[in-house]
Parts: sequence; C-alpha cells; structure tokens
Amino acid sequence: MFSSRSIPTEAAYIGDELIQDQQLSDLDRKCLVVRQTLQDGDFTLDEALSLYEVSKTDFESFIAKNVIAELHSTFPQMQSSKLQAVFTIEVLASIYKNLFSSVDKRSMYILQHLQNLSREIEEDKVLL
Amino acid sequence: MTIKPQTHSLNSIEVTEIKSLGFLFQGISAFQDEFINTHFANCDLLLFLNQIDDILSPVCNSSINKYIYLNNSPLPELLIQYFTNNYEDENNGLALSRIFFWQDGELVVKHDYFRLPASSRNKGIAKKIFQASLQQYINMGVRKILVHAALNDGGYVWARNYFSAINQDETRQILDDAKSKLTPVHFWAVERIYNNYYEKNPSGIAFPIVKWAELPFMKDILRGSNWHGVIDLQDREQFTNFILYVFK
Repeated sequence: MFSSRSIPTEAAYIGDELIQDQQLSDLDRKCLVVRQTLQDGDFTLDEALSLYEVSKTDFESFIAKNVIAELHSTFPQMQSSKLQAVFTIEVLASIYKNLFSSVDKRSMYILQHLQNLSREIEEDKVLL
Repeated sequence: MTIKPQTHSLNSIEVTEIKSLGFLFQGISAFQDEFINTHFANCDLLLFLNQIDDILSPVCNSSINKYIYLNNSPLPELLIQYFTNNYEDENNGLALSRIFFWQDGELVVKHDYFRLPASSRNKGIAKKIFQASLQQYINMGVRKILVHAALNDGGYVWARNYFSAINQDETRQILDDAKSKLTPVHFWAVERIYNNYYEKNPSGIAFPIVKWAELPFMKDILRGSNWHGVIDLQDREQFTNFILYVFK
C-alpha cells in the first residue's frame, strides 16, 4: 500500500469537477451565501449584496425561485399545471393577507384580483 | 436527490468475491466479514468496490493495486486503496484512498487521496465516485467527511464545495494572510465573518469558509491556503448544501 502521509491530498480538480457538474450557477452560489450571511447576522442586505457583487434584483429573483421550488415540492402530486397555479395564487393571497392586510387599506383590490385570476384559470379563460 | 439508508450484512461469499476482484485484505487476516459487520455495519463493501472498479478501471491501462486494510487497534479502521504503480505521477497516476475510522464515538471517513490521470478529468468520474460513496456513508451512519484542503487551489475549491474549516488556528492564519493583502474595506468583511462565527461558537469546529470563498477578493488568498475541512452529514444545513448543490 502507498503511504498517504507521504503524498499530496485529495486533488483540487476533483472538487472542481464536482462544482462544474452541478446545475447551480455561480450567481445562485453567491445568492446562497448572501442568504447565509444574512441569516447568520454577518452583514446587512446592502453590505452582503455589495460584497458578493449580487444585484438586488438577482437576489430577489433567487429568493422567489426558491419559494416557487418549495411550493412545487410541497405538493408534487399536483400533476395539473392548472391546479398548481390556482394553489400558488391562493398561497400568494394568504401571504399578502398575513403580511399586509392590517396595514394596507387597499389590500382588498389585490386579493380580489388574485381571486378573479384564480377563477379565470379554473374556467380556462386564462391559458397556462 | 434523496438517499435512503440501506441495510446490508457482508458474508464470507462476498469476501471471496471481493478477493476475486483483485483486492488484497491486509491487517486482520480472518473473519473479515464479521469485523466489517461489527464495526462498519451496513457497509455493502462488495457493491462499493465493484462500483469503484467499474468507474476507475477503464481510465488506466496499467495494472491496478487494490487493498483493503482492516485494523483493530487502537480503534477499528477500514482503509480502501486503489492505485496504479505510477500514482505519484501528477499527470498520469490514478489513486483513490478512503479511511473509515471511529472518532469520539462517531464514524468518520477521511477523503485521504483522489487523483485521476489528466486525460480522465472533467468527465464525470469524480461525481460518480462521490455518489457511490455517499450511498455507503448513509448506510453506515457516517457522521463526518474529512478532507485536507491544500496544494494546487485545494483551499479554494473545497471551500466552494461546502466543506467547513475545522481548526481555528488554520482560519486565523488565512485571516492574517488576508490582512496583509486586502484593502481595509475588504479585510473588514473577512474579519467580520470570522469574528461573528467564533464569538457565537468559541470552540467552533465548522467555520463556514464558503462565505470567504464566494468573496471575489478572497479567491487568490484561499488558493494558497491550507486547512482541514469537514462535512457533517448530520448537520441539516451542511448535508443539504452538500447533497443538493454538489450532487444535484
């Protein structure tokens, strides 16, 4: 057997290959770290975005993609895109209601719009 | 990607099959199946070695040395080595070494050494080996994967693969290096991450060095760094990052 103590360690290109094979983009990797630094209290949002060179729009899009992925993974049995869309709209309405209905006096317009959209999808008036 | 633990009990017929694959057992000379079932329960060693052989044997033309070393003192240890005679040749050598051992009552695997011939790199071989390995780690209840991040950019690459840094002395050394090379504003950020972690975890052994690795100005500093890394497979965040973002 060879002596592992006398030779170099796990080659870096092995790790490089693992990174290249993954479907995660460099931007996604940065967004993940930005989120981690926010959760751990390392930086404020503005500091983290600036340090990791991520735009606010890209970070918001990353968070949205994660929320959508979470929604889809929660109910994978919903095969129909119509059912998924209606369910997603209801979740969005619930989120809005929870976060803003007590402070936004016009929240009813948004909630009404979401309700209409949901009904139109169900009636195939809006095609997905 | 979901990896469900599978049970397995190695038997003497499988040991014979392992030997017929060309693996030489060293250390404990008899009842190897009992030793593995007792100390490394649920390791499907025959399947694992078959997978290693299937993945790695096509990448080299020369003969391959295959060893299983079983050691019972001071603590049980299982070492798998697979290498060509020219394993020290950086461009043409092939070598894989994995050591399973017990540490503070936890089963740990050290990713000791993995080298591929230049002609076989970036062809998905590393990923296949890691995937086959991970199934066994889950089966066996491995708690941690250890790696020594050093040489030829290893310090940067393994950080980006979500390994955390174990030793504060080593992260302190990287911090000192950063202080001498970075602007005050950049160093402020690097130090902030360091201080925030060690203030909350005074005896911390899992510094999230990926936070440094993704800072654009830390790339060159980490490329020359030397540190010991760990993935804790029972830490939900570390495990999720490793599984989802390395093996997705």
